[in-house]
Amino acid sequence: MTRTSELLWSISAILLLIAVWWFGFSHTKFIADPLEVARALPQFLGDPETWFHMGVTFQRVLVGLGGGILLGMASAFAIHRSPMAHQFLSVYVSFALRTPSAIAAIMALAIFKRDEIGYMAVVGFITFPFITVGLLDGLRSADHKLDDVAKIYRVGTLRHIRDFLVPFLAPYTFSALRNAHALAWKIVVVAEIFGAAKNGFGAEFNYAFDYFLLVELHLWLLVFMALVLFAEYGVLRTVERRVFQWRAQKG
Amino acid sequence: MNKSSDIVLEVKDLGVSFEDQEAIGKIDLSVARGEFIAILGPSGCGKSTLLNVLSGLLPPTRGTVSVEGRRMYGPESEAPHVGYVFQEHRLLPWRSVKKNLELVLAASSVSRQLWDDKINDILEILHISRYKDSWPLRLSGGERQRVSIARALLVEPSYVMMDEPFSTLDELTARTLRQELIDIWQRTGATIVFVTHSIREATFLADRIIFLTRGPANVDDSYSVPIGRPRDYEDPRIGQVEAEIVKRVLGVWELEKT
Repeated sequence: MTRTSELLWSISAILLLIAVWWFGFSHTKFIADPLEVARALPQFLGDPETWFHMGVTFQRVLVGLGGGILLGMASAFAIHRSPMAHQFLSVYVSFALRTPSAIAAIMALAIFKRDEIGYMAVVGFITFPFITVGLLDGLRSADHKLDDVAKIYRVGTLRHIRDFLVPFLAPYTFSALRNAHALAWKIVVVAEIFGAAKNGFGAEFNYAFDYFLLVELHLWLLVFMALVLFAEYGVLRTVERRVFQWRAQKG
Repeated sequence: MNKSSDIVLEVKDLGVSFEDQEAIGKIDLSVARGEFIAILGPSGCGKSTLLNVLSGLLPPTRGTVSVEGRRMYGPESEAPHVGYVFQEHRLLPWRSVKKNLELVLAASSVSRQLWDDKINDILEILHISRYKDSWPLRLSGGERQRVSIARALLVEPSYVMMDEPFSTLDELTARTLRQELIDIWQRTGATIVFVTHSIREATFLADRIIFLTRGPANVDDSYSVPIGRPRDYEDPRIGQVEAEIVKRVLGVWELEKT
């Protein structure tokens, strides 16, 4: 598929979405007028309050996901290296994988009582098993032929990790990270709503929903989606393309 | 020729067993500095196990290996500086050609100030200078194997091991590379231990051919190739030597029965 046709398909999908939105607005009472939302958007974007709340949510995602990544990496390496750690940590990984996000949010509220750390802990707890499972796949399919190269040329442990292991695991890491990242944004909103947060996207969205502020509800949703898409395509995929540029030139 | 009398690699009474399975029976072998030896043996005879021992990857069950007079696998011994060209290139695909070479240089005793000159020289000799900043996956099979040879020679190794390095290439590329390997060997004076299945390849390349028996490997014989250099791959004398060797190994490898 050429770039132009890719673009055309994407534009068509967005136009269809707007048409469905319009149809929904015309036939229901709980969907706002797209034109009214578009008119209110500049003022909404210019309001510092908007960015404060998005910033709060962004920070919760960033710290929670960061914690999830660190925990996921540590448990993946431990499980891979030690049979004992495998037996022990696999229980936690399975438990976290099967815990509904809403239950995790309620538990966090009970434990952390609306403290910031509670929202971050929920994100970390729900995302870490995805990182563990993804990285374990990579570690289990490690290319031992390259390990022989490292040994024969005596490259040393640090260089082995930096130049052999980390790049080898990069595709698995990015794949796990993409999944965990998408999940983190969804979970943080659940945590903010179920955890009765005072600020952040979830809190504002919940407030707009409770008071039936339809335009505001749609504005929050649009900005939230834009932020998630920017983080995914503007940051993650850009970094990924750069890291894997050696593949693009395959002859 | 590049040879002098000092011994670079000496293997005495080498034996390797995996649990109750014997992989190498008994190998005695010595390789002089600048010598090009080929090791010829049937499939599964233990050639790869032997190379693993010689490259420092696998301690033998019995016997000794000495490199430049120093024992490998002793309590105080250091792994030797060796080069290794595998059947497949085994370059890091995520690093450019230059960075692949720099990686092994960083672990060698070659001074950093010399890296650029050494890299440029070896790439020039192997006719791959223009690929210095390319990704390995961008190169053809022959070009990747050239980079792999460059990597092996660059670290100033005591000896270079080559494990059927041309077996996955097409015949024309393999022939070109064999000729280039001889040119590089004569130019650099490297000591080369070359493992192959191909009797013609061994005859064309080596000063001396070591015949291994069927596994568990024992050294059956050492044979000095009676053809001067330069050699031509199509030289009828190579064909004659090849025929003579075939006759010789048929019995040893017990192929007459199969």
